[in-house]
Amino acid sequence: MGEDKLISLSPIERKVLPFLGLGSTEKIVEASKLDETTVRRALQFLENKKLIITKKITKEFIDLDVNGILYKKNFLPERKLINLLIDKKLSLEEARKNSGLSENEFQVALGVLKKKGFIAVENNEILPKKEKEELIKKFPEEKLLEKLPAPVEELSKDEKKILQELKKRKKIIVVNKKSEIFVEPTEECKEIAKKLENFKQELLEQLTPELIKSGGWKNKKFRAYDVTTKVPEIFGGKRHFYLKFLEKIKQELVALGFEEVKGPMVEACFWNCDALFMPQDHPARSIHDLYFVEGKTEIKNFKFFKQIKQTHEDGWKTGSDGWRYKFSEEESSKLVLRSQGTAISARILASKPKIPGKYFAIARCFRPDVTDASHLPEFNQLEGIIISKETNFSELLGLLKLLAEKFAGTNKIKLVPTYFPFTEPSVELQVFFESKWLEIGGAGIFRPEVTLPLGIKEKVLAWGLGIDRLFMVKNNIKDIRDLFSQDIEFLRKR
Amino acid sequence: MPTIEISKKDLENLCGKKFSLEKLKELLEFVKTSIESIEEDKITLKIEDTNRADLLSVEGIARELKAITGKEKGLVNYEIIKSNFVVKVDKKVKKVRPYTACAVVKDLCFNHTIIEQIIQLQEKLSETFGRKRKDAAIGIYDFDKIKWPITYTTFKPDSISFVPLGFVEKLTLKEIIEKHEKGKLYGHLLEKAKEYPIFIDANNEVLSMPPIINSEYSGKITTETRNVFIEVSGFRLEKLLHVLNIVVSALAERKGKIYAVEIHDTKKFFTPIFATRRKVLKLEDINSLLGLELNPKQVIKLLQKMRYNAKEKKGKIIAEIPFYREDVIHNVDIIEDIAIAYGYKNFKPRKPQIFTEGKLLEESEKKQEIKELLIGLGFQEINSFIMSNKKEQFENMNSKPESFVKIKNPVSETFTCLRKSLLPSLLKFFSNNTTKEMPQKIFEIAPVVEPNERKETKTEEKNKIAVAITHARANFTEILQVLDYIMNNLKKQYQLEKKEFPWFIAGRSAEILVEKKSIGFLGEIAPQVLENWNLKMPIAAFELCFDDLL
Repeated sequence: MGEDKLISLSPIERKVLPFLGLGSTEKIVEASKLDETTVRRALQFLENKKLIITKKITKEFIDLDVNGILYKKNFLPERKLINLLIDKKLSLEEARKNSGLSENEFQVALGVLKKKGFIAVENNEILPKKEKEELIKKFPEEKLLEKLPAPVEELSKDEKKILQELKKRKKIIVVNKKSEIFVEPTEECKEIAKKLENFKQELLEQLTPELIKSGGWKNKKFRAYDVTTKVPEIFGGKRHFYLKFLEKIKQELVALGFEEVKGPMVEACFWNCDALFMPQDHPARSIHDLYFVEGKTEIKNFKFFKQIKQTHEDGWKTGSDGWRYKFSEEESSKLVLRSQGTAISARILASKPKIPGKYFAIARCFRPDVTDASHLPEFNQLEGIIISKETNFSELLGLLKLLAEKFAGTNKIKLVPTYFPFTEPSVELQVFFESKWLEIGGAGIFRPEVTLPLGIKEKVLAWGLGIDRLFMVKNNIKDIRDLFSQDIEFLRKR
Repeated sequence: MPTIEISKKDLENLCGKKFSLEKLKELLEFVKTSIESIEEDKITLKIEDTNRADLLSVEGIARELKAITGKEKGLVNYEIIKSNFVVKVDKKVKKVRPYTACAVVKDLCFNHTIIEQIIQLQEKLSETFGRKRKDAAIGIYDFDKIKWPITYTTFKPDSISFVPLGFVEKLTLKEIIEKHEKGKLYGHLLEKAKEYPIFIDANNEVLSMPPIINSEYSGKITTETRNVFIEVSGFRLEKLLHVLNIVVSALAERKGKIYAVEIHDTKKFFTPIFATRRKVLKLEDINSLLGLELNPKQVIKLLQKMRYNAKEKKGKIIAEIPFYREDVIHNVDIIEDIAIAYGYKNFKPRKPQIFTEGKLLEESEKKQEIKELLIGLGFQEINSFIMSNKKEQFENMNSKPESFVKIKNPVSETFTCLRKSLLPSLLKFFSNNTTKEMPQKIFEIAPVVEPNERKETKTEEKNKIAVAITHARANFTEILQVLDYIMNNLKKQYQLEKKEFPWFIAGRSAEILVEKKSIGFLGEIAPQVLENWNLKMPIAAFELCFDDLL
């Protein structure tokens, strides 16, 4: 018995083994001449092997605080004051000036000295009350400061009293809690320790190239490891958990035949709103719903400007009545931070897309929301379109069903009528998740007021998913801010 | 999205039918409305369709539900009775609030619920369609206190006074703007006016000062009120007529009798006007948009369910649109109503048939390649905000704020501009992790935005790569090894040229050049910058323009 454990002892364990009887870690550190971390690790290993029992005892240590350190070096305020008063009296004014003490220190020093009966204050004068020999003797306070740091338990009753007084003063004393580990070796351990003394056989530690070359390992044993020992954590490089998800979504959409596109984040109202037939006085265009950026764009140069303006005013050739107002170029040329991914779809329609064609974008969008667990002023939208003469609303519903299966992993869905300024008919996608219906996306067929002015005669199915929300629901993330987490540990473990 | 509060019982009374909550939810989907909260009998409804003013009242919702449940069908028919009530419009109002449209509704029976609903409708309408009373403000008055004819005119701010609603003493118009709660709230709408608009009756009793406040005398509705006068004032007659129709038709659902009012403006005309419009639809357009095979009879039935009248003529469908449906401006709006009436759940969803070839953006492919390399080197990817602020972008970096993309209406101090550089995002990240396990190695590949007058949007977006290392011995060599590894793997020749940057230690930073073009910088972060960010460990970092690597 004990042989296996004996072989498995690491060099550091073997080094501390003779000193375990000393009890406290501190003493073991001193006696073994190892550093504290090493000793602690060795003790941890020994405990794992059930060779020692450890007890953690927390002690209060008294130490000097900032002012304490200063006073120990440069004297206590009361000493500075009394030094001025040896064999002479001084006015309060002079004493204050000559002592070089702060007002607070001066008052404290006066108080302390009065209490000790060393001085008296009469008619704005300080009078020494004791002889020189008495005055130059070390104060008990000074003696205590010299003794520090020390554990509370080692202080005498009187010293503890002084300690209480000093504690009341500003930053002289600080009480630190220090925990120390006390060790008690088991019987087995003591036996092993005895054996160790007689254990002449040399155990091999690290196998080295030299050992292999020399054959020095032959007829020798390797020290056995404790294979159950916990090792310090390491961290590898890692993709951001959410960005990785977005990439997976991209791959899946590519597999469905969609082509990835992008568009600018600083966008003209023209593209963010007008091209999407949002009326110019629509409430969602106010400063509460859009971030405006300084500067404006020269809208009149836009190829589609005229027909979009006219579509708003009287419907142009789209078969629409239009909004029947005067279109404001000023409004249209304002710059905003893109508030909806659909702005990218409008740009795609305007840039001679392939027909039939399928496009998608993951768009960073911005809305002036106050940040909380469910709102961020920056968020991501997944946005896609299908352009085709042959397609229709039934196909849009089919697509939404497919997207719900792929991205939300469910076929329990609801398709509900809704409203968007740029689609008709419009539909909302809801999925059943954890006993609730959740809106995860919207879709529709672009209005002719959107497509025709941009030169598209075919039908355009448009859909968007709130992927931030979708991801959160699927991964049980309650706080949207976690998607932008600033905590490296969180990211390392995600 | 507007919300309205209704009483379920009231809705059921109006519909003449009781509903289970489940049934009600289902029915409300037909009018794009959902239940936001329920508190006993009180239900808060969220109206999705911001273009449908008719749905802002329980009466309007009931009107639609009656047809959806089959109790009624097709157009509603409210009678407008002729009368001699006259509102004279003084030329003077053309300068301040040029138009009004009016009506009288009699034989009403108000209770508290109904009054609440009417006030709610009035408020919601003037908030949303009236654009916070600017474009349309609504006044409702006790008809029996009015001596006809009424004049819509203007008065100088000090020349007349009346007791505003909720007050006991008379105030001049000027005092109302200054002292009354509504005056403070809406006074800015009359900011530029030299005289203020006033409705006044033949006894010289002031009815109201639109769009601010009614008078206490006649502008108050109680359970005693039986007959009301309604006016809407604003800038576009077309809009006012629409808003008036919404209010009047809601009262018509309460069994009120509608009387026309003759407006003596530059021309004489009667209001309200309940004019329906017609649109002609081709059956094939309906079926091809929806992917259905409906016949004309089915289409007509579906339209009647949505309160349209419809008939077939020479293979086409002629739809007569309810007068309150101003939102219908194109045939597709009608086709959507057909689809809703058909029921979205009755469609047979079909996967899109067309074949297309999918592909990623070139930049997405390249990003993945570089990310893989960095992860191989043990770097953690981070995701940060594109919005930033001057302090983080410039002050903390020891650099002067040059041109950058500024947000005009920031909500918080954290987000006041767009970031111009990615490096601050990484330093910010480190500053939030000073107590965490070292070393820390992080990167981000993401866009920054710079002003650029030559671009259409006056800005230019660039994708950047930023890489940073922090630990007790982080240095130039270590970060340069990372750059070297990336560039070698991308088979990109590059040079480093000595250059100083305010955020790097002088003499320990360089510019990264590819084909003599500067694409980024690399170095050890200056201690002052570390201090600015409250960082405790050395950092070495580089940032380069990803787009230049494509």
